[in-house]
Amino acid sequence: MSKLTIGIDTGGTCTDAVLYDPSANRVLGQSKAPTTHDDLTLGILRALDGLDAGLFPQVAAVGLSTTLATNACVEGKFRRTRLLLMGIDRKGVEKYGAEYGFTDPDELRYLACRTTIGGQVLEEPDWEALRRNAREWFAGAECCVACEIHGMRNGSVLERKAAAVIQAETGLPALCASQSFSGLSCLERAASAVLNAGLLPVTQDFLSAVAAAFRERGVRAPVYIVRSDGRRMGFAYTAEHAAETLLSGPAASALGGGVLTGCGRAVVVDIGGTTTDIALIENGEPLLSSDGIRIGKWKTQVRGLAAASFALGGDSAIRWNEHGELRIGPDRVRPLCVLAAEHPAILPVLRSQMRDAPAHTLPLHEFLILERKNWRALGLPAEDAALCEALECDPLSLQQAADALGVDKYQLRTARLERQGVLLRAGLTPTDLMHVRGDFSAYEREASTLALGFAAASLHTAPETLCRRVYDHISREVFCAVLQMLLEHGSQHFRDHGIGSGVRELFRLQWEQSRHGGGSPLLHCGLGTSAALIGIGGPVRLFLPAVAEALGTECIIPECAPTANAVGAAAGRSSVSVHAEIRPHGLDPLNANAGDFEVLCEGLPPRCFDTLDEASVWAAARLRELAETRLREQDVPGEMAFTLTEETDENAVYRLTRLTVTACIR
Amino acid sequence: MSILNEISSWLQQGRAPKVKACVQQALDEGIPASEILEQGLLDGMGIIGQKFKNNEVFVPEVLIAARAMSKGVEVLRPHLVEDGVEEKGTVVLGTVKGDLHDIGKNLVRMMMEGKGLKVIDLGVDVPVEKFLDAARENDARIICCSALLTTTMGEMRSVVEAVEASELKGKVSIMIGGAPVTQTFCEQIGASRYTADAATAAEVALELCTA
Repeated sequence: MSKLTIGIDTGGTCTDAVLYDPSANRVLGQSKAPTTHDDLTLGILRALDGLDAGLFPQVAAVGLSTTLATNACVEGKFRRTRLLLMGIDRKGVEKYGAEYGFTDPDELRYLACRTTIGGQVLEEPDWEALRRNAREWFAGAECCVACEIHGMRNGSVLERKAAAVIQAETGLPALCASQSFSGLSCLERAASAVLNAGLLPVTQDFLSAVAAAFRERGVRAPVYIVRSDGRRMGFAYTAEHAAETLLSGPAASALGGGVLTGCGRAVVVDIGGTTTDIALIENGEPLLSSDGIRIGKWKTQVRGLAAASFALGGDSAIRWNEHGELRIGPDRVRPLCVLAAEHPAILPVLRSQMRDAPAHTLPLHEFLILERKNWRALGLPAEDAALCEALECDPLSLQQAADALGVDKYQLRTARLERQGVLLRAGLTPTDLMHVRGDFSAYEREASTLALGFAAASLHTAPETLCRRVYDHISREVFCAVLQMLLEHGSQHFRDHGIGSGVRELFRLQWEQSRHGGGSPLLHCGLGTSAALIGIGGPVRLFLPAVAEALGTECIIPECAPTANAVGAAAGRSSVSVHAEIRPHGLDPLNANAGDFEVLCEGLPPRCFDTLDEASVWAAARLRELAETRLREQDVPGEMAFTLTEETDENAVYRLTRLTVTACIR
Repeated sequence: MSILNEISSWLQQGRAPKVKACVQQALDEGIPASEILEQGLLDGMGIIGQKFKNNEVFVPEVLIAARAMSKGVEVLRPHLVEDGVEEKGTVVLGTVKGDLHDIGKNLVRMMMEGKGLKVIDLGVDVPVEKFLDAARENDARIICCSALLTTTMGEMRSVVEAVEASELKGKVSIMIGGAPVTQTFCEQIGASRYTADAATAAEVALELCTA
């Protein structure tokens, strides 16, 4: 019996599920359901119900990518966590803390100590003061995090001691930041750990709800969560490391693209409902960004994909300004064809609206939908509450809503409610255009046709021309974003300075020449790539071939492109990489007998050896132990395989050797 | 010969009293302080630097020229501030722990001061923590490290890492220099900038402070 995996991707718009056979690299079934933002479990289960339940007993693992942590961050659903910072004082946090998410220096507790980047403790903190004040300092908190400036170099010795004191005095759970995060920056380590601690309860609730629901449907296989770097982790580990799931969606999609096509080198373009994400694959692995992920106000040490993301997708609003200029995105609306399929009653409204005003400066084809049924609990101002009340039963067109409130349609203010997610708009989107042109036909085409006619008339153009312009616009945006990403990947200059207007003009020229010919016959613009363009996401086949042609490369769109991200979630591997560095030790006046080769190994204090060989043997053994422990923490069964890479800068005066051990399941 | 040329030429010969007197004379003639600095003192230092590179003069000559320069700057400093050649930023400077060489470092200090930068000179054998404490205390934009030995240049890496670990990450640039130091080493350890000579160091520091 072959072992199958289920992959589930919770996206901003849709939750996708696939049944995947990893041994044959084949997708056996796929399904889609709308993402339910107020309770993600619902959407996940609906997507799961679209799969063949007869095969569930053969499922050996479930991979899940989720936006839960991201949502919780954005909505601020945190457990009250208080940070004890050692080695950076209040002044430092006052000055620079806000950039990492520590906006209020009074929210932190400080304990002075002196340690060195080399791992020595010169002066211990005043433990007596901590003991004496712990109750008062951590009153009102539900959890504590201890972070010391050089915790990653001294085996978190001070953090562990502080956590023990706090726990003993207050009974609160206390975590050590440097044990979960080993990066250099202290405030990033602290922010990441505070996020982890704060998200723990909501993550735990979600995970147990998901596990229970899966069991109910006869899926007994272990569930793994996709991390931001595309690897996957076990349940218990995820609960304590919620921050690692930020951006697990884009990671899953890049992984899916790579797995489905088997390309070693590729640019993966995922055109979704809300955004378009671009990731690079080298040697079969998605490239990771060198900087930590920023989420809300927090600057974390969680590494994600080196992905570019911009707000343009199938659900981007197609609008125009009062000067008759076309605008696509960045706002997201529900496609009219989708709304009309759910509420056929809007069709006659749309028809008569278009009859009364065939063209207008306002987007009169748009409808308002009440998204949050619990709006009464929000304490909205009177005029907002009146609008919500009017929308209780059915979506209303802008004109209808204005009439219901007794205001002029120009005075209808909805921005605040939309920002809060109470109201949603439905309008003309690229998805509607696809329905009109017959590229896609799942929903109600007439609504799309009516709205397109209205938009084209308002823009003083023919519907067919407008369609072409929108398609061309999307392809060109993708083309420019891919080129920008490749330039930034290839050159430090562009990473530091971005691309200027000159380079942007070059992109435009190349696009125009490739698509429409023309331009100067003396000039040929030829930026390109030899990496294949892999397209995933629903509408990608309409836009990506043109981009690939302009870049002089091939375009691969896997058969199950619309659910490739779920395949990525299913195909993710559990692996752990840990690093060490061996460097010349130099002169240490404190310890003249120390050997010349200093080993810096993640999570351990530095250690010196007399020869490079001794150092490297010791480091490799420590790394292997560490990788094994970390992988086991993620409760993955099976035999482990280890790979060791060792690189030395041969020609440099200062000879560094870097060791990496990666552990994965065979 | 104009007075500015005279300053430059006395400076190259390392004649501190002459330089001092000429700077005073130039001021009395009403030449703006910044012009005396640029076209007199720094011009002389620039030429000495080139001669040193071409093996036409050696370390002692450079040293006495530098001493003459600092004497000239002493006379000039009050007028520079008056002229609005304000201090443009603060640099923390020192030779790393385990290393006692300070000739190059002192040259760098003078060049930087000549550019209108405030330099906190921590001297030689400076431990990593002292660089950071001084940077915090003085709100410095740059930590500038010197080392002459291959055995001590590793300390620079510790400075880079310590800044990265602290709240100063991204706020303080790290410049490195010294005989064994190279651009490759700079990239290896992730320092902000390497410069090969004192004059360039001062230019880069100014660029970093005014960026």
